[in-house]
Amino acid sequence: MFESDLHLLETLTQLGELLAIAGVQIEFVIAGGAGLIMQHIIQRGTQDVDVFAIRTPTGELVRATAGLPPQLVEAAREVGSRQGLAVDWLNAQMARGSDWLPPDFEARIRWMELPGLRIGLVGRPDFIAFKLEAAADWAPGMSKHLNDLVALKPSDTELAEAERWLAETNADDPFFANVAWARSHVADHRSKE
Amino acid sequence: MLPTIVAKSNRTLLDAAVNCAWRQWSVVGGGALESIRPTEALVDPEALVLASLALTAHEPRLGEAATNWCVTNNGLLSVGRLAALCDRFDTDDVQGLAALARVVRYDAKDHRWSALMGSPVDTVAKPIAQSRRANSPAATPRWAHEQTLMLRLRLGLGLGAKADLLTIFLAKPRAWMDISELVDLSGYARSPVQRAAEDLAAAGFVRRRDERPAAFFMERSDLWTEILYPTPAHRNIALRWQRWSDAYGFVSRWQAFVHRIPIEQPGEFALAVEASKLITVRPGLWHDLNVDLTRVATTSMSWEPLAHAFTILQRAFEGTS
Repeated sequence: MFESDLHLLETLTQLGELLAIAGVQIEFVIAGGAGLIMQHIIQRGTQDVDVFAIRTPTGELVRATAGLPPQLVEAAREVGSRQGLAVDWLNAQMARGSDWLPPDFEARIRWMELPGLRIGLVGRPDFIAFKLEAAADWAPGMSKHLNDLVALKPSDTELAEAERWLAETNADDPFFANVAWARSHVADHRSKE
Repeated sequence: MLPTIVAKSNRTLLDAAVNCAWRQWSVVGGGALESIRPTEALVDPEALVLASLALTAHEPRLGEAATNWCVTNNGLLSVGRLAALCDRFDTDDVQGLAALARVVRYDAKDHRWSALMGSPVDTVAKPIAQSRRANSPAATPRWAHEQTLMLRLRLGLGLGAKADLLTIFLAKPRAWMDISELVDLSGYARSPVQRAAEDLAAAGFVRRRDERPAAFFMERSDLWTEILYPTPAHRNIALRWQRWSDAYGFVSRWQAFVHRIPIEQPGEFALAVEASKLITVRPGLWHDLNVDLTRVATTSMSWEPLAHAFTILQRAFEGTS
């Protein structure tokens, strides 16, 4: 369990050190709760680090639908076993199912340089879209994703943009009914503040 | 550049290994001077030859000492065991074995060593042989030193698995050992070890316990030592087997790893992980040295548990463990 951004950073640094000492350099993009913790948007802990996109050997940044490279998996396992983390603490589960990337996705990424690793954090509009999508998948009902979406404090304009993006890759009903429900929950929360 | 704490462990261990190799050479006749403090455990000659090749990058004269000694004492060395123990060292470190074998093959005219020469053979053999320094000949082992027991039994009983197993039984008294352990300790293949152990048991040299797996044991090693070392100076002698091939092999692999690190400033965590991986390759050595492998393998951040393991190995090289 990662309790803080410092713990996450320490773990990712160890991961990078192992890759660097093996002469490997990997570049990936984090989304999900770990990304929000590293940006100090949420305070909750998280079990894992969600890799959403990865740089291919040809230099292209793609959604990590094929999973993680073996060297990265091996190094993550080594770090995880020494920290008592879950075997799949670093995973690409959230990238599965579609090749879709939000428009101009790469331009919004904030990069962080570590030995052996270049880690990107997705931009705010992307976080909002991913969390709106996840909250809708769990709706109607409370979930950590809905709480994360509330913590992001998105404006109506940002939510509308996120919904427009989600329309590029999601079916109509009941998904968008759930999106509407999640948006109204965020609006309710905003009005109570 | 290694972190300071790792560099210190690294340097100290390397120096201890080099010094140990010199002390062992002086005992078996390969050093110019007799050591003030000889090594404590029995000398494993094949491990010492391979160690000297592996440590040549740090101490070039060790390679020369090994070559000269092998030419003089070639008949006391097992070519097959040399080849088998190479696996315990870094591959690049023991590449010099082919050149050494060429020198022994031609200078000592021992055809057995052709098996280690690799290829191409004849084109490079003579220049290497001629390059050997003639002014630093090796002597025969100093048989009075109990550390030469392995060579002494080979001289008396013949080169092979039986003499070496007898050495191991004498140096690990009152310990039941199965075939797997004897294979691990001796470095010979399973089949000759099985045959040798069964023959030694049938001939009454050791006892056999009919279990699965069968285990072997030397009951009165003290009687052997009374015969082999009858002088008062050797009273209460304690022969001790050390896994030298594993000890030197670890140093070889670790040094090679450090040498190949592709970045300027490797982190302490990554170095600890890689060192612990190397340690667990040959756990028997560390078990014998009472190193807590669980602690080594689960180190979370620091080099400290590895520093402890390195220090214990360093003391084994120094004979102070």
